[in-house]
Amino acid sequence: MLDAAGLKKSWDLISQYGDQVPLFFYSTLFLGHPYTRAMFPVSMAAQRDRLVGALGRVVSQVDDLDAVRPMLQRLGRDHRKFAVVRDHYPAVGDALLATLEHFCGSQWTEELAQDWRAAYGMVSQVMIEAADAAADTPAWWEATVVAHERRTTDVAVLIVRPEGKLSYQPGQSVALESPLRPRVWRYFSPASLPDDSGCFDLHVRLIDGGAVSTALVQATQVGDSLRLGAPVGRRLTIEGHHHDLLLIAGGTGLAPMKALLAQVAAEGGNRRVHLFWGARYYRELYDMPSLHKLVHGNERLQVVPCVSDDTAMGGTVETGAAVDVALRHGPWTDREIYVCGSPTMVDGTLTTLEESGTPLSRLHIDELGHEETLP
Amino acid sequence: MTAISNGPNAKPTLPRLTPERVRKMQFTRTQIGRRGLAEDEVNLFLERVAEDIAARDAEDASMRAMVLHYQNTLADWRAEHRDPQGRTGPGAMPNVEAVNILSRAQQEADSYVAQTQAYCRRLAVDARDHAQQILTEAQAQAEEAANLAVQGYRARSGEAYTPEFEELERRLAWARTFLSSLESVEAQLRTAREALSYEFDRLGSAGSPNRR
Repeated sequence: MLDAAGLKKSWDLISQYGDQVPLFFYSTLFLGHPYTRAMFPVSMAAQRDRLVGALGRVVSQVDDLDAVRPMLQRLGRDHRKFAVVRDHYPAVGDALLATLEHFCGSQWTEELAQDWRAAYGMVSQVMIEAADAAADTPAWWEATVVAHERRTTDVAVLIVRPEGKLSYQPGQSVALESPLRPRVWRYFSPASLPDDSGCFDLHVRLIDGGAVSTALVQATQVGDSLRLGAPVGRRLTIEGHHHDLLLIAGGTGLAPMKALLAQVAAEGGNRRVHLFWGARYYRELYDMPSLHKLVHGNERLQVVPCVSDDTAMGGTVETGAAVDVALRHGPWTDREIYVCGSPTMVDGTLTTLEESGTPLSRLHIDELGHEETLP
Repeated sequence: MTAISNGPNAKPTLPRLTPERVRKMQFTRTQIGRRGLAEDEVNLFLERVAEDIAARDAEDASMRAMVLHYQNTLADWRAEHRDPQGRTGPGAMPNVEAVNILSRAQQEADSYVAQTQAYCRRLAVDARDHAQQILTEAQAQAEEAANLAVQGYRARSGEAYTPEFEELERRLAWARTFLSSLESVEAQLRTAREALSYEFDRLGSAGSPNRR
């Protein structure tokens, strides 16, 4: 029987050493197993925070492993795209134990070592089993850039063609790795339904100083290869209900919303959709012709561009934040509401919706700017 | 040996700041017109704090290695002298000095990457501000030209005046001036690019072995 309280106590003790703990862990791992270094990006700073975060979550619920089981299974499946295999788990376990021992110092006992080893064994078993269970789907897809269009200073629209079938629900995201930035993965949402040859659109905004987005917007060309991970996330899909939709998007948060719009348009049912898409300036609304084409001749689908800072349009475009414009067009009783954009945009939209008395149970939210590397 | 200052009964504290959390810290912007802090100064300070945390972490690690070294020496000495209470040091542990050297190298790499990213971020922000300024100026010039065109039309149209023609004149003048402003900027950029590539060529030939 695990001494959960003992594990938590030792973790609390260790946590107080902050960044020193993951630093020690990774250095120990790399010294003992030098080939593992090649699985990580140059900068490890974000990596270390992620490792401590994940370990902390597991330890805090170690007496109720079922609670963290879904997270561990997802981690196990996702780690396949980092080329993590069964053999790597014992190496990580050894480095973890050595790290814990080092920082616990005189508090370290044989019993504590056994408990930690047992806990790590359970965790890694869940991850390995989940990875094995997913073995019939590819760990990642090689993909080719078949179109690259720079729409604004900051935004590029890419069309990518994965090798082999990559099935996703509109609203889901796929992790992406560029050979220009090896071992750094970022999430992007397909902005279209897959076409007949499996191609789909990605909308990429250049983040100032951002590693992957800079490479994708400025340095990627037609014919370049990319690597895509398995589709993840259910929060922005419209599976499981038949309600009308209110979509509120900011910037490249348009991508998943446009995929939903395309899905509803293709279904041809009775669902009604309003999309409010906001930017500061009209010139930043980089996809209007394509959106107009998508909803053309379909009264049930409406697209409303919104600008917050543009005075040059002389009243031809609705002004204000997308959520404010949306509320002016309301009421939206019985609509399921989807929001996607920058963290600031999502926060602001939520606050405004809450103040307007919109029941939060109908909200479906995701933020842009996920990042993911190997924890 | 590291539990000396943080006994097992130490109070739970907030997670310790890491260099990454300091670098990623974002503050809410003050509303326009309210007093706020100079963003560059805040960022510079955050970078400094991140460096300090990294340096202190490295220092702590080397002190721990030193303590461990003394403990092992003591343990060896006790074992040699057959102290019945003596215990051997942790044998299978990797060499802590080596671990710390690798950690320090990683921290330096992290710092270089973070500084480079911060520099790129500043460049991009400056470039965007500059582009915004060019557009704003072009718009202002276009507005001015449009007003002049309207005055001109009113003065010369006399009886033939219609509001529709006035609006047409206004829009035409606006668009013409706006476009020509942008074209002149484009020409400036082209000149700058040509000068730059000339310099690059010169540098390239200066660096080649058969320049003489």
